[in-house]
Amino acid sequence: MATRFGPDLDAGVSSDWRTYNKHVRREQARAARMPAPVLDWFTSLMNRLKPQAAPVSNGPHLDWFLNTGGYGSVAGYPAKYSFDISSANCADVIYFTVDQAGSSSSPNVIAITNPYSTCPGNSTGTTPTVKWALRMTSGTATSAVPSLDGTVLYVLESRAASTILHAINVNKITTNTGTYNFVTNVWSNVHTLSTSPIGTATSEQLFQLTFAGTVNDVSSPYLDYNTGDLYFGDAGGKLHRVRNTNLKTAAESFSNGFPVSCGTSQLTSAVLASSATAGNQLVVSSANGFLYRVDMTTTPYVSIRAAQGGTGVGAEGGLTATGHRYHQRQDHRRVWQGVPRSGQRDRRRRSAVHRRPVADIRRGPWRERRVCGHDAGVRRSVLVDEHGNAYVTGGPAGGGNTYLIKIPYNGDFSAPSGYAELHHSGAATAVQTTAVTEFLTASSQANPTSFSSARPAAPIRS
Amino acid sequence: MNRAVSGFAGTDASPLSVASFFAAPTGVASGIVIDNRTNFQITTGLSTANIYYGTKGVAGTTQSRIVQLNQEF
Repeated sequence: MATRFGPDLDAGVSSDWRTYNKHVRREQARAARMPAPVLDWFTSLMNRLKPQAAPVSNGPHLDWFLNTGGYGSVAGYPAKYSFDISSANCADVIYFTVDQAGSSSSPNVIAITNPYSTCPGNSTGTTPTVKWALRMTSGTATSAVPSLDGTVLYVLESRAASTILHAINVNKITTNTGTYNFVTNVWSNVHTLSTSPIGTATSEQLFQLTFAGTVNDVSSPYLDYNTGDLYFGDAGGKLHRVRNTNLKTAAESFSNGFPVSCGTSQLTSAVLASSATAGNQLVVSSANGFLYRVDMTTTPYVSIRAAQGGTGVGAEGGLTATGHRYHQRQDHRRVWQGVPRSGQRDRRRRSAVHRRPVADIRRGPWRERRVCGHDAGVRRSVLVDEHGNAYVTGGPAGGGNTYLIKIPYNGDFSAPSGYAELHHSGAATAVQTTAVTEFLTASSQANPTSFSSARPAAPIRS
Repeated sequence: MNRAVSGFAGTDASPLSVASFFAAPTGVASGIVIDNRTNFQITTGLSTANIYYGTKGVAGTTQSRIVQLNQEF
């Protein structure tokens, strides 16, 4: 949302907590990689005296896992609340949502704490603590989002004909919290989220809002930490706004144009862009292949449609061919070419990987075809590193494998400068991938900034 | 799950391989959250990060999971 390269430079970094947090972590990783001072003889001596670590094996190791008690996927991003940005803390909590109906043995919101070895109850690193495991009537494929102070978790429950926004007081669920047996891998006594009373000092929920007739299992809630407003899209192209989410009186806004129509197709997660080049623009992409923005500085709020896939100009809102454009980084019509389909429901799942808010705001023409080469298109969200390189997953020009592609960016995209072929366990060559995630590390390796992406094994591609 | 070191420069026709990878049973559907605060050394004492994600379930066969991995460099 704000970078240290490109048109807006540092200007937008401090305007958003998420961006600020990310830049602080980058600075910490960079500082940790700095060589030690030559004259720091004391540290050098102590390093020699300390026991030396065993050789690095350079691989991943499973610490712990918990079955969810059902077959619904864990599709949303985990939400990790950290009590210290620079130091691990056993009190940290990781929240997972599960896309399955709740029962006494199958939760659909799980809170895990003591996640590290040597934490209380987790001496070997394999038995974290279940802070609580909740059962709602329905689950969700969207991500949960915590409040800035970590005391409230916002979860969208996805029902067949409605959506329910739960504001869960995470520290008020203290009895019958659900039990997981790490030997049998079975849940029992999963906690039923209380719906009464709501909004009192001891309530499990700060508020609960039902959006009748609103269907959504794709668009995660976006919480604006500056204003307390929360946004999410639905299957009909409506962008909803909930105000005063820090209060029990929170309510959907029906003024100044909200909910704003952004086409009529399923929307992905919204994001409020607050960079120097585009302030207060609410940006959301749609399954119709367009990206929309809502100028939050002008009322009534209306959607402004961007060019679709680099050609044509949308009519809604009257965006012209010049000036700022808001481009979609993925074209849903092309994303699934070469990927076996198994019905609308599954296609919706695949598109759900876009749910992490991503904004692409820049000047100049869109060069998606030049970037991608092949009609497999740019998939998923885009990751941009500190050197100005964007990373996306996509297909090669002449084959069907899935690549991680590096694209230099400095105000505009250049031709791809690197390709890495991703691995998977199945036989098919072009498969679904999750978003690319940056791996900040203090490693002393020459290129310490790494990226992880994931892809499903063969059984779930068809 | 794939890990690619930045700086790779393969070509469209001849891509480099990723630095490391492993197959998560049933596949990964969720986003990935990486935490590189490692003052709590995890299991092997060599980790540089924790990775959190969730897996897909296979109806009637395999339950979905929530997972923490640790990654070494």
